[in-house]
Parts: sequence; structure tokens; C-alpha cells
Amino acid sequence: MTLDELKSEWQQPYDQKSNAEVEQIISNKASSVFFRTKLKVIIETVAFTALILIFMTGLDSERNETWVNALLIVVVILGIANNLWLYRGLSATIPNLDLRTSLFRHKKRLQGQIIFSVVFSSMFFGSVFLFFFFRTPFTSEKIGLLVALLIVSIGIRTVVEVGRWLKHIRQLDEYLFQLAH
Amino acid sequence: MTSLKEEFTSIILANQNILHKICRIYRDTPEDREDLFQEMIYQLWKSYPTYQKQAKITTWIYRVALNTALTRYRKRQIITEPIASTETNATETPEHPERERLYRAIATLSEADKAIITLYLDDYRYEEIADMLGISVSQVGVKLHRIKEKLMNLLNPRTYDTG
Repeated sequence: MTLDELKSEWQQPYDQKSNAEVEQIISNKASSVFFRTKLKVIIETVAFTALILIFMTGLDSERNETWVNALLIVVVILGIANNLWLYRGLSATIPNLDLRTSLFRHKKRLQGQIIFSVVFSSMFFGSVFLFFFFRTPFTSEKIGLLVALLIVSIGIRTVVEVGRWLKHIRQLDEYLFQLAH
Repeated sequence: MTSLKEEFTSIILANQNILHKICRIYRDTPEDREDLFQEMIYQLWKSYPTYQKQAKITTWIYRVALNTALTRYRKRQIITEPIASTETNATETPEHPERERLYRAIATLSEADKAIITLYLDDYRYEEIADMLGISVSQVGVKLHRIKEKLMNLLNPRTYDTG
């Protein structure tokens, strides 16, 4: 048996999708990938907004320096923007390019995401720390507790996310290597 | 807009075999295949307005489909099963046992080689394969020779295993 003999078998029809199923996908109603990502973006945007409202109204923000409050607001807006950017990245059109160029561009995009995510997390970490530090006389135990809370809330999330992107970059590198050799 | 949608839908319906093949090759589970299928259609729909009519429609579909399948992160890698046996699993489609064996053999290839053999089996010329993948024509030739040998060795173990 040769591969050419298998070509006709290979080209036989597969289970077919209906007209309605295709139209549903086009309307972006059926796609679970997009739904999951959209849900994540909505939840995190609501969480960030709730966080900033609690900080500004319920935690005596008026006792802080203005720039400390402003920094926290800017960082939270950056966080929301980052989420929207990630969603846009997923739903952005896959360009009609050759595979090698497409893989390379995607890799560059992921590297940009990693840099943004690390910078954002550090800024968020720092601004929340400053928010509490400027008005509360901290003992070393309180500082330890605050740092631990920040690590759990933002640090772990960042490490997991960056870890996944790094794995993805390695995967893309592997495909690029396979194409070249 | 409606006519564009109708036009696009009829193109997809006529060429959906391409998408099914890519899903079958690049994803391991029915759920992952369905996710990829949906994403490929969505990406094709979004890029349809920029589709250059002078290019073959199937070439454009292949480009976007392969780019979608390979740029997305895959959690699992395919676990290769022994393919020497012609017996098929009861849960798999018994209608096309030879095609099933071919898929199992293709599953042992690298992701880039899978793309090359898929295009070859769909009668694309070396120049077209090279253009779609962004590699040289001579690379396609060398790779295809290697892939064919490997696949034939897997599909016809007694003939090829000359020791």
C-alpha cells in the first residue's frame, strides 16, 4: 500500500456540519473558547472595579497622599485594559500569512504579554502596599501579612499565567524548529 | 452583510473536510476538536473580507486553519498508539479503517510534518506547500521523502522492516 493509494480514502467526506451550525459559530454564540475567555474578562473587570470602590470608599483613602490613591486607580485601569487586550488577542484575526511567519509573530506577541503582565503585577503589588503603608503604622507582622496576602492574590496568578505563556512560547519555538529542520 | 454571510457559509459547507482533517490531526479529544473547529470557522469568518479572490479558496482555508491550530496552546501532546495492527477500536469509526490507520501513523509525526503530509495528501504541489508553510521547495522535498518513508514503514511494517 502506498500513500498515493490512500489519497482517495483520505479525501472521502467526513461528518458534515449543517448550515445552522456554521451560522451559529459565525455569530460567536456557540464558541466555548470565546465564551470562557469573555467570562474571565468580565469577572476580573468586575473584581477590579469592586476592589477599587472598596479601597476608595471603605478604607479611608482620604487619609492617604493623593498620588498614592491615583497610582492605585491607574494600576487598576491598566489591569482592566490588560484583560481587554488579552481578549482582543484571542479574538483577533489570525492573519493569512505563511505558517512560519504566523508562528513567529505569535511568539513575539506572547513575549510582549509576559513583559506587560510582570510589570503590571509589580505595580499593583507596590501600589496596594503603599496604599496601606502610608496611613497605618505597620509592625513587621502586619507587613508580613500584607505581603503574604499580595503574593497569594496577585503573585500566584501572575506566576501561573506567565508559566503558561512560557510553555506556549517553548511550544512555538519547537514548531519553528521543526519547520526549519 | 446577509449575502456575505450566506456566501461564506456555503464556502465553509463545501470545504469543511479541510477543517475536519486539521481538527482530527491536531487535537486529541472530541471536545478539543470541536473547540478548534469553532475557532477556525470564527477566524475564517473574521478574515473573509480580506481574502484575495485570486488565491484558491482551499489554500486560504488551509492557511488560516493551520495558523489557528498551531498558534494556540495545546495542553496535551498526542499519545501515540501502536498502529501496526489493522484492528480498530470499537469506539472509532469502522467505516474507514484504512484512513484510521493513516491517522494513527500521522499522529507519530512532528506538528510541522503533519502539516506537510496533510497538504500532500490533498494534492498540493511542492511550491504551494512551501508557500503556505514559509519554507523552501527543496525543504518540502526532503521532508516529504522522510515522512513518506516513515509512514510506509508504519503502515507496511513487514515490507519495510528488512532489518
